[in-house]
Amino acid sequence: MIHTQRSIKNRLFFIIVLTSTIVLLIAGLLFITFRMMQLKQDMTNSLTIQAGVIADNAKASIVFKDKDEASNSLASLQYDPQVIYAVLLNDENQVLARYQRPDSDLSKAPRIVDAFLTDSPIFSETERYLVHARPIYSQANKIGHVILYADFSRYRHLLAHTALVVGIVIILALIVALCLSYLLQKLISKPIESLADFVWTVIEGQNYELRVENKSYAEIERLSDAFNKLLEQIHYAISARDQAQMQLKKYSEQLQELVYDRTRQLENAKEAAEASSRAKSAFLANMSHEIRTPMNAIVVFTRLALNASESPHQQQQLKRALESVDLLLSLIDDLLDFSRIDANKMELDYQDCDLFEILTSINQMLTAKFVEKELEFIIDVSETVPRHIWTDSLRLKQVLINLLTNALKFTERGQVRLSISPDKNGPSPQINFSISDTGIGMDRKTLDRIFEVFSQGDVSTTRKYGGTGLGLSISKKLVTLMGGNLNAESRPGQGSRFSFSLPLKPVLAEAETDNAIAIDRSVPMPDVMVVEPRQQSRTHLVGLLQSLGCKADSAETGNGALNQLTRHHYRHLLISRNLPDIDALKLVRLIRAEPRLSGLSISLMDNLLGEQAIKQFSETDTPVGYLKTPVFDRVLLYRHLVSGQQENAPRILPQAEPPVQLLKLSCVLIVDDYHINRLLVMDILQDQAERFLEAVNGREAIEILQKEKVDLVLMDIQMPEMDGYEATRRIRQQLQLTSLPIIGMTAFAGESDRRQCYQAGMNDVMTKPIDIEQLRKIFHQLSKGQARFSAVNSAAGADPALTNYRLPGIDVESGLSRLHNDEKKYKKLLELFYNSYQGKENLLEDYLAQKNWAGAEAWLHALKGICANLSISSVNDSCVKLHQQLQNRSVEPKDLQQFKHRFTEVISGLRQVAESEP
Amino acid sequence: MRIMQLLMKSVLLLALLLGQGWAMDQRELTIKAAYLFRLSLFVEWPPSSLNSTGSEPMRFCIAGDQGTTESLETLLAGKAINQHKIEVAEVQPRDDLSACHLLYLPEYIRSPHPFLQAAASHPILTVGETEAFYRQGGMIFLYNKDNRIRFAINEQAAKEAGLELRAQLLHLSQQP
Repeated sequence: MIHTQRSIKNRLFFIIVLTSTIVLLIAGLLFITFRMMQLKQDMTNSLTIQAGVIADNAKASIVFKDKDEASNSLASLQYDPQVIYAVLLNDENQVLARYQRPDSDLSKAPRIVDAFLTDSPIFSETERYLVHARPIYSQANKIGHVILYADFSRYRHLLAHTALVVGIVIILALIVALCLSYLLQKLISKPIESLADFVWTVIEGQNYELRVENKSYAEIERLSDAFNKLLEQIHYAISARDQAQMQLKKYSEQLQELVYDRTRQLENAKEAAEASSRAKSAFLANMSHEIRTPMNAIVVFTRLALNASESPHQQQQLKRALESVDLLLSLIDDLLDFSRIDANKMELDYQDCDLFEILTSINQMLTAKFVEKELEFIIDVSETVPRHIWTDSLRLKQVLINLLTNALKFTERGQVRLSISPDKNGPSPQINFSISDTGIGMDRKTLDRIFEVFSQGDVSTTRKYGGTGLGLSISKKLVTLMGGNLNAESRPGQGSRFSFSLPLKPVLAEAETDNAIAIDRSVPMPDVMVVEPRQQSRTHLVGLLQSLGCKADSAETGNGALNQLTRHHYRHLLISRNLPDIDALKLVRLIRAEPRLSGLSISLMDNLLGEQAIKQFSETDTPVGYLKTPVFDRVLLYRHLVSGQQENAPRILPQAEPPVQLLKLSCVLIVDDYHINRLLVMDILQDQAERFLEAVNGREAIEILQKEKVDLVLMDIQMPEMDGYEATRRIRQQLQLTSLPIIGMTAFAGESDRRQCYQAGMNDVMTKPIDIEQLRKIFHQLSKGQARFSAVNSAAGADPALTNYRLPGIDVESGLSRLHNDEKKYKKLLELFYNSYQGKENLLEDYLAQKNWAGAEAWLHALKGICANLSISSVNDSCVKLHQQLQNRSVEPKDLQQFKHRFTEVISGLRQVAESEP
Repeated sequence: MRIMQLLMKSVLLLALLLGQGWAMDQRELTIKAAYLFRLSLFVEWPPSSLNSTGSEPMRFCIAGDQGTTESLETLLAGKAINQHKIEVAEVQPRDDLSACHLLYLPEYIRSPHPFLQAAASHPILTVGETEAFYRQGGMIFLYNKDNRIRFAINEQAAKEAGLELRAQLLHLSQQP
């Protein structure tokens, strides 16, 4: 845990040992030095003494040269081992006596140097000896010298001995120091280690209530005290923190509980609200359904009564009743829509829609009102607007009708104009709808509130113009749902303008394609004169004609027209039914009477209401064309003008069906939970069926079908116990009655409802209120055996169904659904396709070989549009691919081969269909 | 050494000048002078006679012969015992010998007695060369033996005269 090399223990040990070593060494050295000096001093002292003694004793023997005595005086030197040699000299420097230590290895006597023979004693050191020379005096007369030689070997020996002793002492002392330091360092490191151990105990045990009890040293005690204080603080802090955490935890738990409670409350509230909302929605839906059912009955019975009635007065009354019922129905519809939008339950049903069909339908619905108020109605569709758009036709129609009705309501004279044009301002293509009128207009305040619920200009307005006040609000919301924004601009007295833009998603076929099919630019267009008193309509019509390539002139009055006819030769004359000066029919007669104008073809223009009269006039009087106003469809106009010159039929457009003889069915099953509805249907069909069976729900219907043989089933969708979808599915799957025609009846005739009906296995769908004409039409088709389902399964059918053929590359299902399962129409269109394109598989190759890029592109473009419309998907895919490649002026041979293969495949498939026709 | 050479030269010169008439030859005289000086090194006179710290001269009295005295004076000139310069003087038996510290009776003095008599009551070291001298109470008797000069000491006589002879000297004395 503790790094050994750095531990205090080791440091202490090291310090002690080092200190004692140094001290011991110094002491040892000092001792040895001192000993050296002492030894030397001893030596000199000893020599001095001995030399003095010899000098004194030998005086007489020196003076009287007694050699024996002199030798005797030197003999005492044998007791001093360090003196190895001695000489006595007299005053004539003659050697009187000599001494040599017997055991010394002195090979030759040391030389006596003159320097020794001084007047005072001297010491001299050589390498081997310490020499002491002393002069001998007697009564102040120098009588001789004594010279002693001391050997250093003894001195060295003693010194070495001393050093050895010192060394041993040092080593012993070190050992003792080591032992002591080992023992002593514990005194220091033990408390520190125990403190450290304690700290670890505290850390590992997380027990901050422990206290240190270490009183070994003042410093350690201080440290312990400080540590205890620290522990106290930590303990305090931790307990405070724990407390805070506990509290926090408690709070959070409380909060959680609170949140949980609130959430549950909210959930309950939400569930309650949702339940209430569901109940409301269901209530509204049911109510509308419940109301609709008796209303349907009222409508139908009123119509029947109207048909049966002879008295004009009664008829008038019945018509009023019908109008009121219509109003009531629309009110209910509005309420239902509003509640749906409000509950976010409104679902849009996007489809590939023919815009012109929508407009035609709108025209049909509103014509009567325009006629009634004598207002001009102009529909101005820009040339670049595609014919087919991807939208919810029902809702678009609803919005447009709402806005147009609104405009109608507040306009007394002038015109209402519906303009449709592509809006290229936004980042993505949009289509702009704009409804402008020349009505009373609104001030700013009113304009601000206009889209609010149940709001109209003011109360007086409501009284004057009627209306629910929901229309604009619903329209605004619907437009928002469809991705647009409904705006209104208006100034009092200057009319109003409502406009909105929707994202434009053109369906595969684009405007040009439609025109490419229908309008042949190569045909020279005739010169046309328009006789129209109403300025706006006139200008618009002239503009349309010019856009088609016609030279168009106009006249306001019949007389004006006559005047112009004398001046210029026209090929075609378009005359409004309502002329201010002359009756239009009279004008026609006048013109026909003029032989000069014999080549002139005449068309009368009138709204739908005038169609019958004009046709009658044409049959009985003189042939004239009928042009329905307002004119907005270029294709129709073109055809109208061209058919006047050329007899060839318009391509790929179905001709009207000839009337068919009705068949009588033996047994019809009517499934509806409302007795009155069943009665209604029976009433309508009483001439077409021998026998009726009734069931109140799907289950009963199945039971009946198990027993009885039935030719036709009319199936309500919304029923208790088992609804129409489920019943149909069981009839098809469990009873295996796959060839039995089943026709659904529903109040919500959205496209999705329709699809659901088809998916369940129904042959067709009718919307309530049941339109007598619609029912009869379906009935006719069925009796002809051409309804899709029966046709599929009738083995002996005269006209084999398309599904009997192998038609590779053609999505028959999708094609049929595009044409509302009108198999006959589809078949006819396919035959037309076959006739037009048979044997043309090499045409594209030829174009490409000639590098006629524009030709190839145009041909492909047209083919692509047609294939898309007819769901010839394989060829369409290839067309798209090749068309893209053509933009770069190069075509991959692989794709071209594929195109050719698919094209041939489709044509050969269609050959069977075409050849099977009688 | 120098002294020795000087001595040798002096002796040679004397021999040339004086010729054959001398009783003692020069060589012997030189040795006698050295012996007289050496002996006085080991003798302690009483302070009344010779203060050890003082610087009064030490008087060597030579009996009888002027020639000998002069020779000795020459030989001992410049020598001193401690601070006491050595003076040489010729004495006769009737002379007062109280000033003498040493009395040398050369061989040719046949009757030493008068001299010994005169010196008796004084602390005078008497050195003689005859047996008669030694027998009549002379202190140090110099004699020849084996061709070397030796001496015998009458310790009793010295003591009586108040002189102290060093042990080392006594140790070297040999009875004839």
